[in-house]
Amino acid sequence: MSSEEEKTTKIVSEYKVVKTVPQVMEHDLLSNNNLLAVLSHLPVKTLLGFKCVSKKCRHSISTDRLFIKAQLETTGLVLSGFFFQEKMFTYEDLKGKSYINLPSLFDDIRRSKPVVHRNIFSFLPEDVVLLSSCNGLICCRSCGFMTSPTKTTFYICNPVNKQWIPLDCPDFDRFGSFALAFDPFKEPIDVPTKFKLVRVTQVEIVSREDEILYCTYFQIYSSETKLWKTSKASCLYNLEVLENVLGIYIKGVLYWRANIRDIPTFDDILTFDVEKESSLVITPPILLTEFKVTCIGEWKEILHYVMITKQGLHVWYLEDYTKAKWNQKVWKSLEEIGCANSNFNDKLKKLILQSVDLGVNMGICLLSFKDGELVMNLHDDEVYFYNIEDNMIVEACNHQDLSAKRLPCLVIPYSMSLVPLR
Amino acid sequence: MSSSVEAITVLSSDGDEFKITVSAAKLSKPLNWMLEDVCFSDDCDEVPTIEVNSKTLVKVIEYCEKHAPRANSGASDSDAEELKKWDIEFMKMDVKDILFHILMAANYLHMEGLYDLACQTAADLMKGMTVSQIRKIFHIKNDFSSEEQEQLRRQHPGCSFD
Repeated sequence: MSSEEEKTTKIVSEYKVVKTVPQVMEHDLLSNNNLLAVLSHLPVKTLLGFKCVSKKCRHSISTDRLFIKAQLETTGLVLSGFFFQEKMFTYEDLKGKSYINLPSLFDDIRRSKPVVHRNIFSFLPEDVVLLSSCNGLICCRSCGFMTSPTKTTFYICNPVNKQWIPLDCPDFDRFGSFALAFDPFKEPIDVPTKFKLVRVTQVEIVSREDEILYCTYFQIYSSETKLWKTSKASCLYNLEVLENVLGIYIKGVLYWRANIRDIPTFDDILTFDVEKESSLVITPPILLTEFKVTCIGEWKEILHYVMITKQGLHVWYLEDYTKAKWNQKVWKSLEEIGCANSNFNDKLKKLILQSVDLGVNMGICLLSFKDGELVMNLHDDEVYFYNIEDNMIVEACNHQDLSAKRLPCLVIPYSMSLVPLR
Repeated sequence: MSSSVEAITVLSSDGDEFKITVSAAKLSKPLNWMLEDVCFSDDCDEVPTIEVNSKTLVKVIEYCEKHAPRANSGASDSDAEELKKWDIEFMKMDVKDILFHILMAANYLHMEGLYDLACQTAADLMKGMTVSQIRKIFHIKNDFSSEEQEQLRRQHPGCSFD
């Protein structure tokens, strides 16, 4: 008998044993494995409510890394909403921050006004300023640096399970752009959650031709070594990464919008490959001198570039990272957007045309883009969510809802995740 | 195995006879083993029993027969799309009656595709359920003390911030 046959026979005999067990069904229904398999198909939001079903459920949802990984792989990370962090305009930190959930895409409340939440970070030991979000984790730092310069603490936290890790910060000033790099899909299940925090550091250098350049390098904190180190790569560009520019992490690479010095209407994208420690500059898909508003963001694990001009909405995706090759994905005229959203009253079109006529921005700004959802700030005060695929606009909030002194805010896309930090 | 065998007869746990084609049986490892067992055996008169009730077995066989051509030969995207639509229609069934039995049968018969489909359908149903409804349907005992329950309620008002 070949080994293959032997195996088959063995399995068949095992199967026969099963066969003789009368009525496996009713007992099997109670099996935890079946319940967990069903639960792993549920979104995080629903699961949190099911913690109270039993102790076993609570354990699986809160701490069982095997279940949490299975849930993540089955449901994927779904955009839950956006955090709005007030921007600093003075040397004093602004504490205003809110979370707005994305109105559900699948039921009738799609057009109802989203809900604003304000006390999400009350589980942290002190007031914080939000800096970055990556695959369910949030990076923030303590407020009020100027009054106590020796004590700035960074926190990596998960608002879903209220877990957090404090990081001591060496002699950084509070300025500079920080970005979190974390990939839950790469994570093995049996080790503490790994992440990296990257800071863009820039030093002004005046060239012989009196041109101001920035020597850019990256400082990286690794949760494994618990140390900060300076990247191998450093580069000299005329690109300035402003503080409060959101770093976007996609498949191991961080992307920042960077301003070209002295030409405020043009911008490039600065990248940093966190593993290889290499950096690139990617020019936008199109160089336009006419009036435009732009924004970058992730959609289906690819970097997208969104632009609105008087011709309409244009969306490109980065087809080839190393060749910096873009490809057009969507084009919609302003009329098409206005027609499908009658309540919106063609505000976007009017503002764009006014801005084009007068040659100045009349109060329109693209705040964030993620998974096809564009966050627009119109008339300096009103915030709208625009779903590009559905061609549907919903009013999100105004500055009073956000308890912010003024808009625009730093807008951080957020996907709920059960990933444990401890 | 004789190539002339195209279908085998099986018994449900209720003792009813069902026919299942060879290609459809291939979707389930235990069914496939059973098939080989029947064909290898000298005494072909024995009808094997599957510990699944008749009502459930009808649906499981229906699923196997529908999915067999694609599973055995691979299919185009349009076929896959059509099959997805069929799956959705197929899963529009009464929960208590049959969905959980299908889920368990799929687990018992090692049918990954059907198991995933049943889990997803059950999960979609659970989205609208209360905690006590879930305990009832899965026969779970509430093992929290009243103090612990009170604490949970305080910690998770609505159990989430959203």
